[in-house]
Amino acid sequence: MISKDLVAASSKPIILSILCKGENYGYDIIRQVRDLSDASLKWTDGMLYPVLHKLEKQALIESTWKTTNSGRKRKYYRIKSEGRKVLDTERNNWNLVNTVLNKLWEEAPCLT
Amino acid sequence: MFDLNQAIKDWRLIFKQSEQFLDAEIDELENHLMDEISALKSKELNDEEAFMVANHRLGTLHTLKAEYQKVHPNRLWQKRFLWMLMGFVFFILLKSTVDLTAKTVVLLTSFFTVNLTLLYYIEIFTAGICLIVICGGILKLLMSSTSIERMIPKRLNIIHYLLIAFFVSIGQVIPQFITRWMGSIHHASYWENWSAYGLYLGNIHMTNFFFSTFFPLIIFVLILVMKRAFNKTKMAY
Repeated sequence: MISKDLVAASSKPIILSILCKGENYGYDIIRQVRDLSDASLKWTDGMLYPVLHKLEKQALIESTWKTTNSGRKRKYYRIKSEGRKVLDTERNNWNLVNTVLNKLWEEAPCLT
Repeated sequence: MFDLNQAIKDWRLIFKQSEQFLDAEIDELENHLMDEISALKSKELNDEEAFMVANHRLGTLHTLKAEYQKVHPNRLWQKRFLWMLMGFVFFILLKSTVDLTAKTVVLLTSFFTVNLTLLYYIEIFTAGICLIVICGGILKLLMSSTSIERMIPKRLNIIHYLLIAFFVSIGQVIPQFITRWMGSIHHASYWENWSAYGLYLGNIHMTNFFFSTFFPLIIFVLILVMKRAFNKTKMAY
């Protein structure tokens, strides 16, 4: 079980990375996260939307309402150039943390 | 028997009543709920089970409200303030209608009587009757809630504002103007009644003039500014 704090912290780079592949809507974003993490990274579905709105407020992504084939209206989110820049920084930061942890664990794995 | 459409309607209503969510945000959440329900139903869950699981996965109103509040901390108070202003405008509208009616009745009756106190009581009495009739009508409308929903336009546009402003200013200025005019006439015959009554009322209501004309104006400017600010936050989504 991944802690709430880590879920919250990782939500921004994860959402931006998914949107980097193309525009998408909330339900599909959550489905992708669930599939990619083999259901171990669990989000309360509704929590995604405030995060999306926050990113939109920060002008990292933008949204449009579109009508689907079934006639339902759906809100699609798309990444903006500012969002790509932020994603680059996020990627560097997460890679850095990852490298540090890996090095530490390679040198002397903590025995419990 | 479980009715999925009714359940969704009820779910919507609960979110709407919390005042934290914009309609577009509830639409988005409802869309999510519907997607989840259809996905669950393809896994051989029935309507009721699918709704319950989807609802659980979406999160409770309480938790969602808290999360949305983090993104828009001021929205709740913006909405509440707007309601308060609306209430005040409604009050002024009511006052305008009552004032206009009462003044007209007094103008008519002043042809027949010279008794100033009687005229004053006639004015008050007419105002009272008018108030009761209007409040009764509103109460009746509220009880049949569908008709009031149809009567109030979904979005107020500039014409609605102008109409309200026009009515408020007419209702506030004309009665005062009549009073002043009555007080300024010093002719013979029946005009004397008006003149005397005008002076009589003028002495009672001297200070009201300022409040009844400038106050609504200030309130209207405030409402327009608030609406604009509110629409701006709306447009961002």
